[in-house]
Amino acid sequence: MSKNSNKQGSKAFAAAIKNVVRHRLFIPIAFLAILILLNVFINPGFLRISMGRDSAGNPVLIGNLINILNNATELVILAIGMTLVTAASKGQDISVGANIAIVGGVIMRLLCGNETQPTQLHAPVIVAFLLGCLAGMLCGAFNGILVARFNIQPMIATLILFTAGRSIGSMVMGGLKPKAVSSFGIYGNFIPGFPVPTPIIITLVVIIITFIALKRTNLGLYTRAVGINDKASRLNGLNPALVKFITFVIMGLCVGVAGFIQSSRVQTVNPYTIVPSIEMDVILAVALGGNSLSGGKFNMAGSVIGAYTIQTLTSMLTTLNVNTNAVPVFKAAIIIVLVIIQTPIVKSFFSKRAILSRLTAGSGKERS
Amino acid sequence: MKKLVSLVLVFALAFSLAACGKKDSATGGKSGKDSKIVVGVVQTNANESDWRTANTNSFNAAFKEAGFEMKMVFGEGDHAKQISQAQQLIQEEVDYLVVLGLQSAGWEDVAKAAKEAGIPFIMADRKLDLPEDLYTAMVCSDFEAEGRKAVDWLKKQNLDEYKIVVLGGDTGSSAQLGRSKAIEDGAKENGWEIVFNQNMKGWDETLAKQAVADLIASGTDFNVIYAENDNMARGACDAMSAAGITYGKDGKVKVIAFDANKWALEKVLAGEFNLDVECNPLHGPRIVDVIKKLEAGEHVEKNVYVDEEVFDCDTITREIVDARPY
Repeated sequence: MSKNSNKQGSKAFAAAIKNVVRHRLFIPIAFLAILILLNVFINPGFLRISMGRDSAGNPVLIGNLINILNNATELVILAIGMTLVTAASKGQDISVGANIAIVGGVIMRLLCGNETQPTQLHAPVIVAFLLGCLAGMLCGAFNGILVARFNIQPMIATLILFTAGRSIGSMVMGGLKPKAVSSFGIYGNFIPGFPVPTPIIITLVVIIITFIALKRTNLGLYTRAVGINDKASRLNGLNPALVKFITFVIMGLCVGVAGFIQSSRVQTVNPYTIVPSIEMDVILAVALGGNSLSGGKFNMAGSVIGAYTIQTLTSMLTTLNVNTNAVPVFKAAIIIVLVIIQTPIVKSFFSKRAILSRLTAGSGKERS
Repeated sequence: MKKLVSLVLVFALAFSLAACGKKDSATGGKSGKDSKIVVGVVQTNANESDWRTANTNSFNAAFKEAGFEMKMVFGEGDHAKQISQAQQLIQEEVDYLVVLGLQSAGWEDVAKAAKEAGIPFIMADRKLDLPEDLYTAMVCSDFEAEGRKAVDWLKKQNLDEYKIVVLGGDTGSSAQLGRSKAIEDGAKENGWEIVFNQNMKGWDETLAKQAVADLIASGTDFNVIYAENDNMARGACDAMSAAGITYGKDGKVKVIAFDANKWALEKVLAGEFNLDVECNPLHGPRIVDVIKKLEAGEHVEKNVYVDEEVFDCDTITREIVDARPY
């Protein structure tokens, strides 16, 4: 009897494992876990978080994990928007980095006016934040109109701002390189007296809002429907162009928030170098999250995990002091492994093997 | 009907192009003798930094004073764009071509084309990888010498141990190559340890800050920051402040910066940076000088490096900072 129940237990256990392995988030989470384990293996202090004090005497949390959570903020927020854009429009927005330059330019111009070393803020931060978001949403709306109304492929449509955005950002700033007062830095660093970096909290808020929006509204459903088949969704009473447009505006809002945090980090913006080639990292985060880049179904949690995976990788390359010429190669090598494992060919290969091994194991038992 | 319209359009285009070509060559031919000297300048970026703005202004002012006509184009971070812009200027038959290259490699074809067209090729700011016979003159910063000045200063500090963090600039720019080479050679000669050496994309302040924060979090011990521009030094200081690590004049970590913008000199004066090595942006008058000599048929020295100073937090004064124009 006990033997039998044991057998049943192990069967249930195997089924549970199978379910876990089959889960869509398994591979993204496994990657992140493996990367973190690799880091711990190389540097045993990797997971350590200590309480320190900054030079002003305020308590701050110091640790690699904190840095990764902190520095991944822009990636995570942009990946959320990019997931929706990808799902609805079957393409990617490659202008996000350039749009951040525009948003940063708007924020800096508002906060610093025409001075390069202002001693006070020229506008309340909330006004700068809102207008920054508005600028981001206008960029998103521009892309959205091109994609939804004129049916231009997303990559071509967003190529326009990708090319012009950084110059526009520079023009908005009037060619100046101002540095805002350090009190503006609390949004990208620490609030004095509170040890958790502010960007981590902002990320958390954005993630929560996103998941509530996906759960409570039809945003997710409509996006999927339009991405899977926009003719069918039109026949069912949806307006595919509007849905696509809305996803681009949401992307723009994400750009606004990310641009605000980014410009607060060092309180200055260089439109030509801010967030260099972040668009590729964002698209990669979406892909690593197990999303198809050709639209349709999407997995928001996967994208968020993908963003953290990329930041972990970036941070790893720094702490390992990889030779600077080898950094891109190193990164590419890891990414190619991550992407190939997720392809259907490799997946089906492994699941076939798993079935085979179970069959042979079963037949072995029967014989005994 | 459509065919006809497109045919007409094509012809119109062809004619207008031909007309352009004629006009250009006509003015090009004229400018050789009596009219204004036309100088094509291939600049890097329009608004890259305060340093670059001072650099561009220096060209504007000096060329205006000398009565030259200047055609300045901007590469905006794009190496390939710079090369096509330079070739365009050669086709427009400017009298002199001045190049400030984003990257030091890949300029041979442009230099050859200029030579064939009889246009003197002058390098400014950053030295390009060209054999001596392909260019006429060079007015550049000697980045390796700048780096060596910093290394000499470090040597004089007589620290108990040297654990150096190198924050490099854009990979492949001559400023990055020269400054990195100087510290790498210096470390080898003196037995110093370089604990971190990576290049930051776009000389970016945020990336430098995040890199230093990562180093601190992973427990890497360092006592020298060698940042290849002012912004990255500021980013590194931000990261150290956030972790409570002391730096600068009275701190544990020595901070070395390059370029010496005015705001950075304020930091040196305040004791936040220990050393700032100047990179002189005022090339305009020197280039004008070279062109005038060439016009008069005088001999010009082929390789000229501009004079550059260092600013030490122990010797800098208020007057030096205030006298800084940019």
